[in-house]
Amino acid sequence: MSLHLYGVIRWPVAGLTPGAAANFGTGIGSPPRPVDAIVHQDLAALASRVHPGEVGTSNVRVLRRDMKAHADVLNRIVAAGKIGAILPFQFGVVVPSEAAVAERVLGGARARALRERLERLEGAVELKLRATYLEDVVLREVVAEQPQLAAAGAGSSRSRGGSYQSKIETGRRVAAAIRAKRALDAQRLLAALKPVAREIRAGRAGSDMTVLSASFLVGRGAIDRFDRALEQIHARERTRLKLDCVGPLPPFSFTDLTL
Amino acid sequence: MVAQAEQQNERQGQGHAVADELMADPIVRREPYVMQDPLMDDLPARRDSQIRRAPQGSGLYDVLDLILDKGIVIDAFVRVSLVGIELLTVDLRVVIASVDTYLRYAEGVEKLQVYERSRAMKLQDMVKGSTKSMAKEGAKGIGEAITGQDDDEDEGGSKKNDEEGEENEGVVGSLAKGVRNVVARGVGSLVGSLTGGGDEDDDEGGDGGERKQQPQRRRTQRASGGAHNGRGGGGGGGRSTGRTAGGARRPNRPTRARRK
Repeated sequence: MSLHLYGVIRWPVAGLTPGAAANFGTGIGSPPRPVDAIVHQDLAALASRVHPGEVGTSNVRVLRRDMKAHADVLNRIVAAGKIGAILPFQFGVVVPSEAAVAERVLGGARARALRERLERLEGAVELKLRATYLEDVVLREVVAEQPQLAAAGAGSSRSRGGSYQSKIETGRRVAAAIRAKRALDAQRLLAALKPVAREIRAGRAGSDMTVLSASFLVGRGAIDRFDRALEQIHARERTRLKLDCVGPLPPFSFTDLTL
Repeated sequence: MVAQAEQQNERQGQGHAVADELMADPIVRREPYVMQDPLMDDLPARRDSQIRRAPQGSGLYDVLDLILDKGIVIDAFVRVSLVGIELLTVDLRVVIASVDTYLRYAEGVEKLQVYERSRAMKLQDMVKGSTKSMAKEGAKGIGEAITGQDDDEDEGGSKKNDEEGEENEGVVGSLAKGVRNVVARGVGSLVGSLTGGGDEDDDEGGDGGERKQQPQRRRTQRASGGAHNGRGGGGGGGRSTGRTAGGARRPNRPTRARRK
């Protein structure tokens, strides 16, 4: 029977035996199937059974439910804090049998890579941060720094001819000013958080107003320090920046593994 | 240190029952995690600290790009085909650089100019007791701006800034959503459906204040009608705004602020 994979952990874990009910809760499927550890030497893959064709449906509601289940299995493990490190799978990785887990997932040269990753990520979690501008504030800043932009904007609204074009030109220049500001602010945020994180992965911003979209690898013992650093940033920047941080998460962004 | 102890006392009031070495740390200690059934996912998003919130009970949107784009994959096994899902992660990173955005910036900057000037003139009036500043620009537009200013200053100057901020955030938020929806239509509305219609999941991460903005957001959309009416509308909207500058459009803003 096919197995949907959730993550790889070291084995054994104190207090857990394979096959014991409610070790890892339930995962994807309807009804949700129990998640269990498939052990091979000193590693284990967390998996639940799926009927062929059950994953990868185009039914959005089912997809949504299953993706949430996948995330929840992993988040539960991180929240419980009993397992030192877990390497999460991307959603939707399915193998045809338990034997395949030993052959294609946990065995051979892969075991070495998995152990190395598990060691590197031991005791650490991912914190995902997004910082966005408050638009009216940043526009005010841009105008304060480049007053000619406001004059241009105001001027264009009064004249009939070419008002549309000059608006666009003004807007384009404002956008460029915001872009420059973003780079500076992103740099400052990263500099402030670098001392409290093991690793950082900065993603691409989703919009003009997104200053930073980044993931931080933080040791569990250092989450407190990270929170305080965030609060300091918040205290300083709350009039102009909105901070949104989610975590602790399984270290998706720091796994970097194709088996 | 005192502040932290106070925070700790606050959180203890929430009744955390799980015994765990992590629980000693007030920042990490979180809501009692009892759920074994992933279908029971209606927990409200809780805040572990002032800024950070736990992923359990949060919307799918938070982790969507992680579970679809990151994590282990196995080369030998082609990932099950998730209809249009691969596009989703690209969509989430689309940078919005469009005429609509430029128009919005230009108008935002223009509004700032008017308010800065009118605020300066009001101060002048108070200090010098003169009304000559009224005659400087088109009296109608400035007069209405100052009238709006008056009302808001009765309510408190800082509150006005919040309202402006909220309204503009609303426009930004709705524009961003508008783009996401447009993109979503291109992949069969998967984006909107997967994130639960956008509104709930997107806003779960924000302050409570964001939810309050939703009614305002819609008002803003209807009234201004400019930047986010689609491509053709964007052009037309921009033009008409220019023509009626100082007239129909600007008085709407003070009115909206007053209504709040």
